[in-house]
Amino acid sequence: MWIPKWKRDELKGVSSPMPTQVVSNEEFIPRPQSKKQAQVEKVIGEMAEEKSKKLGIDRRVFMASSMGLATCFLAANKVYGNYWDVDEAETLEKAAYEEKWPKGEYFIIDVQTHFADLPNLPGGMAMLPFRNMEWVRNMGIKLENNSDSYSFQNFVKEIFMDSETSMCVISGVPGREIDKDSKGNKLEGEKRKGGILPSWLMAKSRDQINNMAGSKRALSQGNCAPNHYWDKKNNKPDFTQLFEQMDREVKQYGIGSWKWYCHFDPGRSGSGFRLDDEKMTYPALEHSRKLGLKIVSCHKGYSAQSRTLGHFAHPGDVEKAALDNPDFTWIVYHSALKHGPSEPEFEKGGIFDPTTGDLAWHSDLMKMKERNPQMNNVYPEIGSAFGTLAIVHPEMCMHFLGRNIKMYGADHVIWGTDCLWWGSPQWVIDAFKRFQISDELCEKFGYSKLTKDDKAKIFGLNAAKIYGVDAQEKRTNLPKDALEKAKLAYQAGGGLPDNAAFGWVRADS
Amino acid sequence: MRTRVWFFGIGAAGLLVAIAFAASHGPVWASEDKPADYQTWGEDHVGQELPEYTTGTECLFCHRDYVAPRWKSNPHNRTMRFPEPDDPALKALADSTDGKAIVGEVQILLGSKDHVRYLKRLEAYGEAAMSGQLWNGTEKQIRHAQPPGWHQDTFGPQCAGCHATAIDTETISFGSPSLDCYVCHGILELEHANDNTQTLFSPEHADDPRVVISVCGQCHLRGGKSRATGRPYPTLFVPGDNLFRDFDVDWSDDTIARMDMIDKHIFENARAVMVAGSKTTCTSCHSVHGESTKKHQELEQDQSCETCHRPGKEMTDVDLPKNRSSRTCEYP
Repeated sequence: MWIPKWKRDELKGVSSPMPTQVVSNEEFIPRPQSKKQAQVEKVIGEMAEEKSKKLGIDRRVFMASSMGLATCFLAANKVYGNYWDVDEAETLEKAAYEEKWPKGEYFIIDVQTHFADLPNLPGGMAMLPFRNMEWVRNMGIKLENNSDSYSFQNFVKEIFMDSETSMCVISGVPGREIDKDSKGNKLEGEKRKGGILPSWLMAKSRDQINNMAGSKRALSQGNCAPNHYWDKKNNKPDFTQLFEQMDREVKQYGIGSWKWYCHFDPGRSGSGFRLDDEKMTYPALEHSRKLGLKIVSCHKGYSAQSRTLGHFAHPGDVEKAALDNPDFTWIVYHSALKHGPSEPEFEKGGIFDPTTGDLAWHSDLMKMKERNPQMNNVYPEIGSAFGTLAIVHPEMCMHFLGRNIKMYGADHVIWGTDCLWWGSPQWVIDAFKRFQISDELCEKFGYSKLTKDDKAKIFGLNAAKIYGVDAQEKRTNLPKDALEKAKLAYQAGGGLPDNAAFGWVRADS
Repeated sequence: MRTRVWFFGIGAAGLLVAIAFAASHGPVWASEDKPADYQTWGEDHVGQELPEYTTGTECLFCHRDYVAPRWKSNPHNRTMRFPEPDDPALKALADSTDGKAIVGEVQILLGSKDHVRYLKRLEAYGEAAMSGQLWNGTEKQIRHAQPPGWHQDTFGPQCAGCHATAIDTETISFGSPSLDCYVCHGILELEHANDNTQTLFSPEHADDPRVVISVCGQCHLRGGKSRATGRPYPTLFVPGDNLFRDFDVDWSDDTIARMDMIDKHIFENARAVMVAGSKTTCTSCHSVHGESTKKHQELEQDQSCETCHRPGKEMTDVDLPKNRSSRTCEYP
């Protein structure tokens, strides 16, 4: 039985801004908390108790502060070794943190953020109390009495109020929009059915955020993929319907990128699709080219959620597609990591090879770049993968990041977190700020130490280039926008992160 | 008065005959009793278009806490499966004299680990060719249900109805490989998250026993035939329908007597519900997502237990038939 991580923490009296075990983003099956993870959790609890008492503040308030997060990394260092750049002073003085990690040092674009338009979403988002807070009511959002509006509100809070994220890309959840009613009449907007987070809803939510902020804070993706509208008679994509929907998503919804899941089949084509399928995918690319949209974000790896078509999540089709379509930008989500390190398959072996640093499927993505050094239009994204590896096995995380940068370059690795499933992305942001690759692995595997310049590119400058965002202009003007002002008011009013991860863990862990 | 006695005498004699008949031929709801309405209640979708339904990958996005972790290995999801390269059924085919030529074309495996047929997709939508070879996992050898090589007219008309999802009556093509959520739960709107009382097989839904039997019976009543097409699976059955409007099933005592214990159990229970109004359905004992029959241990023990549990043996000593073939589609 799985339960939401936040619920498990509530039951166990755990309050940690950093998940103390792998939290599933629904794309893989959560594993029991390991001994080391339990040890980290215990040390965090002991240190937090001691330090909050010393400072004379409530433990929960302490854990919600930068000092609490620093305590988590210090605790992880005590258990795993010194993997994180953290000073003892940061756990006791807010100023020490602020001095070491100046506010606004990084411009952060999170290209993988989700919320779910689902009433009664398991996990009880509807129970979140923040909806009654003054600052939310003052933001001009009408809070309807249903849980999907809560989940969107929570999205805004976790991404923009409780983290340093400057901009986000609302990322698609696969689903085909049903464009006609039973009488054949065309449907538009909310009348269109189909999908959990359909493209029209992502676009609407994006506009809501941007209108509220008074500046462009959010971008959105489009779900429409080559196998979503199927001509069964000729057993090929229904290009008329497909192109019509693509037109709608680009022109009407104003999407910034496609979000494709090759292992999903909402159009009942009977199969998934490959990115390098010349008959099926290339016509869609050609049409997109005509529309002027040449960014494809594709989920790769993490295929456990698929009923039967998980093998289509392998990145083997990226190479040809990228080489054949050099004008397109290909963002490979999760960097194609097949399994999180605490999944049963991982424990059985054969998933990670410490002698080479190979991680299953991820290494295939690496090797294709080795074969094709001229292939400069592929960008590994690190959502979920970086977070899970960082918690469970920092050494594997070093290989993961080290190889991404070694093969594709620091100017090609893209920041994503897969939040809301991880609660506020701030702990992932802090983890990345503090993360470093050891001298030993750099020497042995030819990795480079992570510089601040690398991190700046990965955090946001790379995505800014892809999405045509003027990072410098944003850094100047975002502090003046309404969302930043609301954030300051929220923080001044004592607003605290929930430290609630919305992903899933085992109930018995 | 004499007339009344005469009638009473006839009635009593009839009752005695009926009791005697039942004692010698089985329960009183045996097939000689004409069913009241099991073929006529409710609706069917014969002659209509395939409905839209939400595909399983979308369902699993939400139903990840209980269903998703189990569903990948659930036999209902493995009626058709994409093989791993080291699958023993593939290896055996590669090693066989007449399998070498076709093993490279195999895309999908059909059946359980003990009884596997090989499929390759055809160019037409939702169609597949089936190999004449089959893998007998119990004997660990390749056998033949048909001559070696690919057969284009076997899978669709014979097997697709119970191994794939959403079969188009005219083209005999399938919408999704293996059994998607739709096969049992039917057509669901996303709003069911708010109101689950209309969702078949949800805890909040009071399932009509006849509907349950119809859903399970669409595949598990082996040997039935569609009246509309003559095929061994129902025509455009949508959960909620009355299966028996289209699907002709022979559950006479003589037929049941020739069945193995699993089919016998299924047919007797289905008949009890449909003909005699029993409320004990498949889901009273079987948990599909849990792959468990734990609930059946809570039943009161009676003679029906002896279908599987033999008198004088331990309750756990159930010798289920192995390597069952699809008796309507292949050799026995």
